[in-house]
Parts: sequence; structure tokens; C-alpha cells
Amino acid sequence: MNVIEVEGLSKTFKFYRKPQGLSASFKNLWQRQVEFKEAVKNVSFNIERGQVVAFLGTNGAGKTTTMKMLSGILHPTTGKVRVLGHTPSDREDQFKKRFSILMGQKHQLWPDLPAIDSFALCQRIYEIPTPLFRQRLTRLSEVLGVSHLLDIQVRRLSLGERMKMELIAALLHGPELLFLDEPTIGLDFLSQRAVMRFLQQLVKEDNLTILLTSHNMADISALCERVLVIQNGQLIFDDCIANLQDSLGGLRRIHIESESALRSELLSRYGKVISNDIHRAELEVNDGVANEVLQQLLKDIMVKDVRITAPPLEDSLERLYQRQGQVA
Amino acid sequence: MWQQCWKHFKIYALLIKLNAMRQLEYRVNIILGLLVEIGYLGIKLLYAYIIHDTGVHISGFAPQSLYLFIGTFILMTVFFVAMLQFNIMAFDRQIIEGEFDLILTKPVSAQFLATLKYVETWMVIPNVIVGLGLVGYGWYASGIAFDVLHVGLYLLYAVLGVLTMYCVFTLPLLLAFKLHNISAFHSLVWALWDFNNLPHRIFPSPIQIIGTVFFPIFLITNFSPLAIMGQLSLGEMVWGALAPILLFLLTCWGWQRAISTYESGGG
Repeated sequence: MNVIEVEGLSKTFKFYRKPQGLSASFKNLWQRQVEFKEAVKNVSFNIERGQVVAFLGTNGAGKTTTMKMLSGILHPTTGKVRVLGHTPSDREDQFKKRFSILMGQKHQLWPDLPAIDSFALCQRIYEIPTPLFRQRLTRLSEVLGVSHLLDIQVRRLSLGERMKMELIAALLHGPELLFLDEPTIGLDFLSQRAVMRFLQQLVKEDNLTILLTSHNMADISALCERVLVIQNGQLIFDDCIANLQDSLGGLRRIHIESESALRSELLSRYGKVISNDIHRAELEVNDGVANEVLQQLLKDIMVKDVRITAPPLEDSLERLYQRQGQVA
Repeated sequence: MWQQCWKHFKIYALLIKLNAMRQLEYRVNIILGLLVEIGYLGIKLLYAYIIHDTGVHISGFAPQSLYLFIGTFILMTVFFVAMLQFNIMAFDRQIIEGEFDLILTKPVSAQFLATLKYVETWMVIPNVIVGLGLVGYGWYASGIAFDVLHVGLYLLYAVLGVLTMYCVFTLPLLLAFKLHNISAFHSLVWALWDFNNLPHRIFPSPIQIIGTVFFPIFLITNFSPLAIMGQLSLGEMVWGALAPILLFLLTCWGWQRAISTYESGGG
């Protein structure tokens, strides 16, 4: 069953340019050079219940704009959107009670009060019965390890602790669908991992559907099974992560460790040398010849350890953007 | 509909409590704020005393009845400062920085949350005490009967005045959706508010008509004392009851139109 259905979705914004200098500012007082930007162009996709989908793209690609249209914050210029059987732009309360949106740079907790007080406001806004509210709060705060921080002013918490509290606020009403817009931005790697582990657990236990934007590929690899890649407002890829890597020519990385010195000139005979620090090297080869190259390497070099991996997601994405001719 | 009203009433009660708690975190700020408020009140009271002491009738109103107007003005200032002032000041920032995004995703009226979220609590206490005192004295000194009819009439027009005040100051905020920065508007708000300092009858009749019919700012503080003094004509009484409701409907309609074109900010 589809939780999100998007067909031919587009969004155009009006803006104006202001050339450099004071004279241009005066000129702008009565004459503005209005332009239009198509932030999202004819995007179509479906997401099924329980799927965890990454929404990737460079800055300004249209990820957040699409997410805002899916959550009813923005009205689409054209196209059809159905989320949980509702049209988001109708902004019905029944719809709003079934999803949650968490934006890494926007906060709903009151900084001067302990998070528990902001949670009480969430309870009243979402009309959560008290026993259910208590049960959810206990569970979420225990899993995230913040039970002992509930009575401390939010502004006195660390960024990671604050984000965990924001997550609790977003989940207290038991949403079926979660929009996460860069949820780990600014967090240290331990906090990032804690948040990701928590989300993994939540998906497993609550059959939550998640649409996640992030520039952190570790987040994506850890959590998502499917990737939507958007570039210049257009959807350029929609498939599982493995297929993203395969669709770009199926490359593999061979990591070699040797007690003897590894020479790049020698290694380059087997494939593209990605890195070489004398005793450890990384080669990129085509998937079809990876085993063959490995056997040859084992014959030619005194190998201490060797393993084959898929290229990092960042590299696959970079190649995807290059193929689209849109890398700076 | 009543269920929704009740839900919003309960949320507002919690917002008042949360704001009171938030402000209590800054003890020195509360004390300083109270001292400033008391200073302002002292000036207002001195000004009222001078008017009273001269014994001059202004536009037919005896000096003691002016206390009724000044007291009502101070009480309405309480509502203005407590309910609206900080929301008006924060409104365009919410739009520019995209904080309004989160408000739009909550299963509650976005208009309610965006315009009434902040409540000033402790600093209005001196105004409540002095306002009630002045109204009480003005009421007593003017010889107005203290019965259910008069109290009910006063409260009815006071509530309608608060509703009018909400609409008069919220409607222009909708410009923020189009113009984004409306800080210049704030100065206009304070200037308009001071028109209520004295009975509107002291103004020339064109200003009275404009301020009662077209931009009904005079309905906010004038109609409740005038009603109990028997100084309102039947037409004014009907208009005083009808205008706030029409204004409220207009505000809600304008709000719906404004948020349908909301383009979000702050990335």
C-alpha cells in the first residue's frame, strides 16, 4: 500500500535579483527584475508503507521543497500529491495527526523550559490521552537515553541531546510517516549514530515510513533501502542503493594490505589506484573483473589482508551527477 | 466546532502557564520590568489626577467618569500587552525564517498558534490592579448601579473590545506573507493604540466615524464604559456587537487566503 503518491509534482518560486551596490538598491525601490525558479520539475514517485527512503541531492536541488509540499507546508504549482490518503495542501487536522516532520535547523521545543514542558504542549495539541503519552514518553526517552535530562532547560542541553528531545517531540503522537530533513546536521558522530540506531529500531518495531534527506552518507547507508536522487528539481534516480552503484557501471573497490611496499605504478596495471600509503592501497575495478584482478594480485603481491567492497555512496552519487553534467 | 473551541481554550490555558514559567526563569528581568511598568503607571495616574483635579468636563464627561475610561484603557492595555504585543513583534520573523513551517504542520489553527503563542504574564500585574481600581472608583463615583445588567453589559463590550483589538492588530500582520518585513507597521500599531487613551467623543466627528466604522479602533476601549453610562445609541450598541464578529470573520478569511500563498523561508 502506497503511503505517498506523487505525480507530475512541480513548484515554481518567484524571486528578484538585486545587483551589487547602493544605486541598484535605489533602482530596486521602483523596478525589480522579477524571475521565476522551477525548484521542483515534474517529479513522480510512490513510497510504500514501512519503506525508509533517502532523498538525496545537492544544496538547492529541490529536496526540502518537495518535502514541504508532501507535508502540506507549501502548495504545489502543478501536480498531484496524496499522502496517507490525504491531499497535504488541504492541511486537514486528521492528516497532520498522522505524520511528523523534523527539520534539523528548525526547532519546536521552548529553549527556556525543560523539554518535558514542551512535550506537555505536544500532548495537548495532538490530544494524546495521558496514559498513552506517559507510556510513549517513557519508552522514547529510555531508548534515546535522555530520561535524566527531561527536567533540564533545553537551551542548556548539548546539540545532540536537543535533537533527541526534538525527535521525542516529533514522535509522541505516534506518527505513521516521518519526514526527516537533515536530522543529524551539526551532531558529532556518536550522536549521529545514536539517532540512526534509534530510527532503525523504530522502523523495525513500529513499521514507520520514513523519508529522509541528509548529506551524511553514513546515515543513508545505515538506514535506507531506497534512494531518490533529485538534481535541479528533477528526479534522476529512484531505486535501491545497490542498484545506484550497479547502474553506474558496477564498480568495486579492492582494499589490499601488504607487509612489503606497494608501488602505485605496479598497482595501476590492475585498476585505478584510489589511495596508496605504502602498505595499504585501494583499487577501483569493474565489477565483472574484480575476482580475476584479485586472483592476479594474490599471485603477484605478498598480500596480508584483502577485501572487496562497493564504492562509497558519495562516489556513486558524484558519478551520477557527473553523468547528468551537473557537478561544479 | 465547540469541541475545537474547547481544545483551543485548553491549549491557550497551557500557553499562559508555559509563558509564565518561561518568564520566571529570568527573575531580574521580571523585577526590572515590573518597576518600569509601575513607573509608566505612575505617569498615567498623575495625568488622570490632573484631569480630575481641574474639575473640567471633557466632551460632556464629568471628571470622575474619565477614570472609568482610563481604567478601561489600562485593562485593555493589559490584554494588548499580554496577548498581542510580543506575537506582533515576532510575527514577521516567523515568516522570514520559516518558523511558521512547523506551525502549519500542527493539528491546531495556525492562526491561533502564530498570533497567540506568546503571552506576557507577570509584568501586566500592576496594570491589572490599577485598571480594576480605576474602573471601580470611576464606576462608584459616577453613580452607576452595580448590578447584573450593568456588569454584564460592561463585560460583554469589554470582551467584544478584546475581539476587535485582536482583529484590528492581526489583519495588518497578514501583509507579512506578502511583504515579509513589516517592522514599520509596529510603530503605526503603537500610535493607533494611544487613540484609545481618552473617550473617542473628544475627537472631531469625521475621526469618530472613521475610528468607529471603517477602522473600528474606538470600539476597543470606549464602548464598555459608554454602554454602562447609557451613552450609546441603539445603532452604536448594535454596531458595537456586530462589528467585532464581522471583523473576526474577515480576519479568518484573510488568514486563509494569506497562508494559501505562503512560500516558506529559511531553506
